[in-house]
Amino acid sequence: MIKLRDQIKLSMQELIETQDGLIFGQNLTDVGWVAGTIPELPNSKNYVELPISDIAGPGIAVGSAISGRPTVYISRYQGYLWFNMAPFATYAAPARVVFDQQCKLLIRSIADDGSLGPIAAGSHFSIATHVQDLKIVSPVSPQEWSDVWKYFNENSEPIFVAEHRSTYDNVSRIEDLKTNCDVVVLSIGGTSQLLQEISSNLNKESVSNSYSNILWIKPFILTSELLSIIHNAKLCVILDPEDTEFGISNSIKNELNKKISTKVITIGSRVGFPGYSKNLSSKFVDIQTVVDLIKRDLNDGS
Amino acid sequence: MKNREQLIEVYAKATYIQNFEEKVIEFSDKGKINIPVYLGLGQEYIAAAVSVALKEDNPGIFTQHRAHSYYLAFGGDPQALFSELQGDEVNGCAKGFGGSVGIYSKDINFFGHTGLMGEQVYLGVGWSFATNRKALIVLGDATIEEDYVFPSIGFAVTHKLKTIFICEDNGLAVLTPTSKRRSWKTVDVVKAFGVNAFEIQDDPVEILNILENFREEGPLFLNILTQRKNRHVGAKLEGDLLWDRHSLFKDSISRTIPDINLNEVEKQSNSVIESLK
Repeated sequence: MIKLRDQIKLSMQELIETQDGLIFGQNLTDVGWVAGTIPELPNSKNYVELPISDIAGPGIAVGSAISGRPTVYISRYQGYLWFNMAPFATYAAPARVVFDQQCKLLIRSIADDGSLGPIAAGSHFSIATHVQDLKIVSPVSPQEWSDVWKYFNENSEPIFVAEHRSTYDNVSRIEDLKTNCDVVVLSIGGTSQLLQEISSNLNKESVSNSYSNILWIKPFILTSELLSIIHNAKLCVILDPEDTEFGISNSIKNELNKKISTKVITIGSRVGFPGYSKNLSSKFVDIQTVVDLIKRDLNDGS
Repeated sequence: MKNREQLIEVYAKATYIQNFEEKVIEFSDKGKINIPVYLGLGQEYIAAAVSVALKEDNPGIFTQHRAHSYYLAFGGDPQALFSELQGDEVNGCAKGFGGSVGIYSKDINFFGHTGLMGEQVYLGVGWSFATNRKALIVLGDATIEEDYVFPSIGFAVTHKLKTIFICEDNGLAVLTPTSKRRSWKTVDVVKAFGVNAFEIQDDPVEILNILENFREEGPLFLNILTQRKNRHVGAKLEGDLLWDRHSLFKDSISRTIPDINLNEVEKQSNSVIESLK
């Protein structure tokens, strides 16, 4: 079975070899080939090593995209988005509406967690959710990536892809849906890696559950099947890779509450300002905390 | 010495731009134009000369606010621009989104501007890289100070891109003089990147000479010292200028081409403007 990492790499290869597209980024070809997600083609003219300039670089990529040439921009750490976003927000996103201008741009923004400090550690992509008209997806499996890649190829507008390094070895959809269950747990980005263990622990506590990753974050889209399951459940939980105070989960909760009356709670991650010591490393909420919160909420409800 | 046709074309385009800007002032005074307008009276000979020099190149054009002159000089539809300034969402060249700042025209490869100063530099550089075509990138002496401008110029040098940078330098950021903002000169920094860079006056003949004789690989940067009659924004006039480029060029062309009937040239260039509504 193919891993997410290799599925992404295949798409990047297709972009280079069959579409003559361009891949822009810093340290693309000398530092691990972006965690193995781009093909090792040292002499390819389709790789554009950008200067270490976190606003001009994305801007140059947007300039490429408005020429009609398929363009990918890769941001190695999501903390860089605080700089990177200006050209995406001010030109790429409004280009079609304001200037009737195509902008075939796929923005790959890669998060990681651990002892990496305040910029390199953690997920930061909620900043992108403030940009009007910018589509945002968070694929965590090769199947979801294929859906994203199809969308990119069929449209001429920018799409923002929130990736997380911990998901690159995934081989199948992170999803288990049961028609009737007490609780539905939804993940955003890297929190998908918690779902199976949360489910297993809930099963041990005799709490029937379903789980799924949210691929389409903006616009927020769930399948009708999943919506129906949430509708029939007692509780829906959204796991946020950022703190709920500034992450996207509460916006999703509001969107969800427009469609269904099931109680929805959001659980954020312990991000704060990450440092380099073990105690200060960024990490997602621990699994037992999620299970305990779910049990407490279900008991309160009963 | 430039040829006769080129000089006449520069004069015709410059007067055409002047007439347009004056019509904007007239309509602003009448209350028919109610949006912020960025006029460039006094600077029109730069756009006129650049457009004549690059007319065979069909470049991608990346400007910022105060770009009516480039739009008109490169053949943009004047009525579409005039409609845009009047907020016409149907007939305006930017469908009411652009106003005076964000004008665009696909017909002449003129890309829109959102108001983020200097975005045209990274956009033009990226476009030139992806297409391997010539890009004309117009900026001002304040825009050059934006964080992302020099790295973009550096990228153009590294990749030997066919980019022509025109910096219209009136020594002011709105009304703050350059001397209060920085101690360095634009051309010194740009030259340090390895760019062929020149600082010149707004003499259209000199602009034509440099652009037409440039044979080097990679970008060219012209820092052109200029003046503007209009305020930073709005239709009001700012005051007297140190030199009158229009009179200087008119005297020059009258001497160089004694048989030319400049009144006829002016009449022709104004006929289109008179019909604008």
